[in-house]
Amino acid sequence: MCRPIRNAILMYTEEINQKGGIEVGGRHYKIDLEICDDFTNPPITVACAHKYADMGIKFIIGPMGSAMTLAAKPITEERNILIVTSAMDVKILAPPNRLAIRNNFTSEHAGILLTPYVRDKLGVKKVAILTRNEPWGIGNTEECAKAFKKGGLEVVTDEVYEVGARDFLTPLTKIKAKNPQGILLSSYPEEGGLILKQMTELGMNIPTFCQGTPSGGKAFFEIGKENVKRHVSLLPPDPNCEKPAAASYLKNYIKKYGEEPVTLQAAIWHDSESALLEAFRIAKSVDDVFKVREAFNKMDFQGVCWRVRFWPNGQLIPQCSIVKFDETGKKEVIAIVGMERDMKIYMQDVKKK
Amino acid sequence: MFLQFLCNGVLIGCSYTLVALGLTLIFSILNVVNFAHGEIYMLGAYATFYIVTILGVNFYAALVVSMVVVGLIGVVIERMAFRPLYGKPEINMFLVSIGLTLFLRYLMMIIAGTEPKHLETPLSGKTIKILSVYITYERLLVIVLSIIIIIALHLFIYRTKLGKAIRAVSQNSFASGIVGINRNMISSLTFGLGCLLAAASGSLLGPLYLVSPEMGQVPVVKAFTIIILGGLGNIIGCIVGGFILGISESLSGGYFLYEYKDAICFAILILVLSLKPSGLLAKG
Repeated sequence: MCRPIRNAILMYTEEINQKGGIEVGGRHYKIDLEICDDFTNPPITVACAHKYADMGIKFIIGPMGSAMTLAAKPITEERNILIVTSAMDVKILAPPNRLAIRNNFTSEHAGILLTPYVRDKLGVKKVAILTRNEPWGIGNTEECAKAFKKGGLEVVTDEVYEVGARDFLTPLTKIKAKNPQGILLSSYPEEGGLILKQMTELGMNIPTFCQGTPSGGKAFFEIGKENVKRHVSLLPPDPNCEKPAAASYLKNYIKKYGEEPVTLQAAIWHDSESALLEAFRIAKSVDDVFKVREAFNKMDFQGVCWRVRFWPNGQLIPQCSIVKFDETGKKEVIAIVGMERDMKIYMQDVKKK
Repeated sequence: MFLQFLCNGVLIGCSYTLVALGLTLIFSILNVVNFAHGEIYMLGAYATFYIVTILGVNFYAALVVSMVVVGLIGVVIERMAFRPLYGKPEINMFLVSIGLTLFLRYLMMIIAGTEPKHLETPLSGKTIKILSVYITYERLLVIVLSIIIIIALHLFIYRTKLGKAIRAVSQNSFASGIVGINRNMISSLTFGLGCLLAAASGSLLGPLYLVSPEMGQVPVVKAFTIIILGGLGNIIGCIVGGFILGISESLSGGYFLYEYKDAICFAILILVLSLKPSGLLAKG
């Protein structure tokens, strides 16, 4: 578990317990957290899931990451444990899912929500994709490619590179030969920064875009420098934490830990805990797993990251922002995109302040 | 596109050769298979990074200082970790070099953190276009300095008295001792020189890629491939092997599936070794 996520969860739990805990069905309960760090390693996640099941734990916030969630899910389903994950792989909620909730948008949503912006605002009709060869990268590329094709974009090539690659000249040269008008990056931050830098070295000045991962680390901006200006990312709707809930979370976090949380995942996990507590309140139960699961369908509140409300299959109804950056990593929201309960897509431009 | 692929291949080949040179030097003279060479390369990059960013020294001066510092670290490593094992079973040497790999990597994680660092040079961001080929000045610098280092190394080994002593120890360590060559001094010098070359490659390639504790993992595998392909312990073979690997990687990745470029290169290695088991330019 990465440190900011752990910090965010511990901070929120402490705040709730200091206020006397949560009130459920007229009784007050204090939160007792049991943390199992799986080091983002699926076999350890499985061991953690077994440990929780043997301890009689019925609700898990996590796991983090698709590979870990998919590894733990057979155990949590069999032992009737509800999980609130932020992992993006579409397979996690695939039927017959009973007890998994996802407080995040998926790779499929990323593709669906990026498509109108890329096509209509960036004027891109031909897209190339550069993919990190591991489950998240491949899954993200497959889902986004499907959405792009459905949205009328042509995917001219999809190049894959190995984890640990640092030289992207060859795949970029291949991409350049296909004359795309934009590139989707399914990469990690340091790779994303290097890709942007090496694109410029090859005289490629076309826009790049992605969901949040590539731009989610300092390395992206330190390496990419000026080149990050031609990049847009799909992020939660309030990435600068300007709304009251997010501003308060950020202020408390900085006060407690002396630094900003370096990942938006920390805020997502904060909201996952909020959602679980809200489900307890709605269900008026802290131990009936199925009643609590049902309660997720009825909740609708403003979290730190986004408006927390779910479709009946346990999927958060996605809302995002399209964000541009300057070379220091400062974010500028240029559009708000999302889906309604009836799955209609909306996109609103945000006027420059 | 072919010219760009070829140029990319030459650039990649240069960077591989630079890493492999120190490794092959240490192997050919001392018979030490130094798995920690990638970590020495990483130390060189970090040394340059900190000299540039903390002391504010010019990149080129930092490169020289880094080479000297890491060369001296190499002398200490040889004296403390490897010298006691000369003449002992080879497995002991393997284990020590693997242990050294992990020690240095995790030590840097503690000191510098796991976040990759970006090293800037005065040439960062400058590109030239020749015909339809784009090359950055930073990559041209790698080519030019690689050539200078290769020539300097060749002259040192074949035109100096010390070089002659190194070759004598390489050919017959026992007999070289009888004629008065200080074998311990030659061992230290050779290991330090190998580390100095690794530091040069780390410092030159750090700005192109990134400086991180794991940065040596992939290059050391490529370097081993090159020295086996070129013929163990052969400096010219190492240069030839580096360019074969770099160009074949670029062309195979460019014209076939990029994700299989390593598989194609290892297929070439297997083919070469099945036809010439001792490598392309092996001594015997």
